[in-house]
Amino acid sequence: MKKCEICSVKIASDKHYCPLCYNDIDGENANEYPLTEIKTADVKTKHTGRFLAKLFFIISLATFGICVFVNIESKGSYLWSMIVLTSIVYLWILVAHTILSKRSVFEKMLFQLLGVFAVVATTYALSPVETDNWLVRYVYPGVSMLAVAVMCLMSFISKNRKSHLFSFLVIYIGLLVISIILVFTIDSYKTINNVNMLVTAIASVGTVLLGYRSIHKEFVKVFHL
Amino acid sequence: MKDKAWYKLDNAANIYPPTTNSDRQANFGLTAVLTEAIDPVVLSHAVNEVLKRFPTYKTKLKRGVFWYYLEENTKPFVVHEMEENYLGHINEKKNNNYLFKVYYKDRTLCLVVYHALSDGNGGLDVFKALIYEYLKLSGKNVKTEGMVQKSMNAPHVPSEYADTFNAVYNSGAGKVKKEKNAFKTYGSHFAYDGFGEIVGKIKVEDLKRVAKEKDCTVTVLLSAASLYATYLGFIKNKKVKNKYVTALVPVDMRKWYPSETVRNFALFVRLSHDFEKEVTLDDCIAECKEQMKEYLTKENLDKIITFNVKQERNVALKLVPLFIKDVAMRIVYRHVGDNLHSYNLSNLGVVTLPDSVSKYVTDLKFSLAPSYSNNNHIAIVSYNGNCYITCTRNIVENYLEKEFFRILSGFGLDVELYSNYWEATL
Repeated sequence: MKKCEICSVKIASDKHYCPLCYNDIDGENANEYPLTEIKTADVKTKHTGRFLAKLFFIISLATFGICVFVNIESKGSYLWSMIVLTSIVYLWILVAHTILSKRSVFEKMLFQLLGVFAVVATTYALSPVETDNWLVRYVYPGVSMLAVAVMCLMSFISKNRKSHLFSFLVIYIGLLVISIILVFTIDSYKTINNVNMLVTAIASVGTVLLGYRSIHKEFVKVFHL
Repeated sequence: MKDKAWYKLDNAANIYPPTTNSDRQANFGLTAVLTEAIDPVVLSHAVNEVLKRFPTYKTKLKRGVFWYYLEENTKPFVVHEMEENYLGHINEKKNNNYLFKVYYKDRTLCLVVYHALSDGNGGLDVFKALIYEYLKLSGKNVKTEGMVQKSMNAPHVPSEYADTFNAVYNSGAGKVKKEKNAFKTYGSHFAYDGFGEIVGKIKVEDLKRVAKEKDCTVTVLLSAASLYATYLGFIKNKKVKNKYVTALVPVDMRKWYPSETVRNFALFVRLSHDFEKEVTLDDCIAECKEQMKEYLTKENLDKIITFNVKQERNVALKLVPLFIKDVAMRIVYRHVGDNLHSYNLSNLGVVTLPDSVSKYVTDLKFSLAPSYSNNNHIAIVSYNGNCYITCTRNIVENYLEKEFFRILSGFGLDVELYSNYWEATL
């Protein structure tokens, strides 16, 4: 075994210098601990993901800034730049939260629905164009009913349905509240949102009746104090 | 379809999920060198068998509304070939959501555990069971001989995964002493993911002889030597404002309170010395001995456990949603928890394996992951008459290790070193 005379230690390595003082050492090789071998070619830098996130953040910020500037300079009749902002936020949710993150299905669906609702609500509130009514009357309840249908299907076929039921119930209740608000406040046409309200109400009640035990257990688990 | 089992995080584990990320890990590793090359297929089977015996390890970390919790993980466990950065952040996605990893390479078997699962002693129980099960499945004639503590044949009992902090909680005890901010070791961080590791192998007998000469325990001797090494390496003749060096030394509470738990059940002693004045190593040893004696009393331990459990039981704190707790805990930990110690020094003690198992295990090693806020750590374990001292660091400068092992060789100890020469990657 090699010995470093300066540090007075024996060294089990095939390297020719002391790991403490870096002075040259002589002696036979004796690597008694085959623990790790360094492969310098394989080492990776860790900042690629963060760099991309920062880059897209700057692009988003710049896009919003330019839109605000053009919106104000062109003296537009309404604040369409705010709709752009909501859309950018929704795009972030879609990419960073729904597609790339390892969050639960519950969180992903909840954020998706909140994102869609935010875009619809902002467009309705700010846009003077007739399409806003179209968004509230058809697009939002359509997306909502589609989500309910997917969740109902998952409640029957998913392997993890027991743990999903509680999350689905929370989303159904959220959708129900939103549809009630739409029906009783801004949606004068009402028909599709009425259907949406009925569908979410049935889904909520059905989930409680069929999965009470699982929901109760999940509730205790998630809210444990 | 069976309901998935779930477990609350124990009192000590609550701090880890919000405060750990890829830069600040809370992992520890146990490594064994066997006499024969490891077969990864047999190892995979062994791990999956062991997981049946230790259900809290067969879990994934989930977010609740108020607290994190562990939920049964139904995915199979996959073993990995040894990596250079084996103590690094456990990527849950690549690890089937498990909070521990098992590595193999040639004759080396390594278990890396995220601290939210268990402390070093809990991890050691699992590691012993894994070695035993691997050898058994490899066709070796091995027996537990009562030393693989949680016998693989016996069913697991709830006391093995209980949060013992809550069980020994005594509502009457008082406040704990406020600690001073400690000196932090400094240097240039490695450019690549990875850490410098230097392992020193010393005969336990020789180490005990020196400790006896100095009239202290091995832990006190090594702690004092590390404090003095920090002083020599980072403070002496350098412009440093805070010269208060603190080693954070975990103490296994299973020796003080009856407990079978494989989860966290350790408290920390802060062994400190203020190097404002010129001191000798003997002064450090005397002070560490005194601090250890003062700290390790039943009354004091009761006080600390009660203080910690009271924080968790505080109704106002309980009702704060997790996303706010996350931010608050991160800030508090960064400004209070992290600043109170210079490095960790953890002594797992003497590991005994059944004779039928130990003949297949030549070396054992215990190591702690260095993090961005704690550049150096020292982990110690004794096995088969040898003491293995593993110094890990994430800075290029090896001042602590250099002075530490020079101090030990200065005692007349025969020190054998192994290094991963991570600085060579620069």
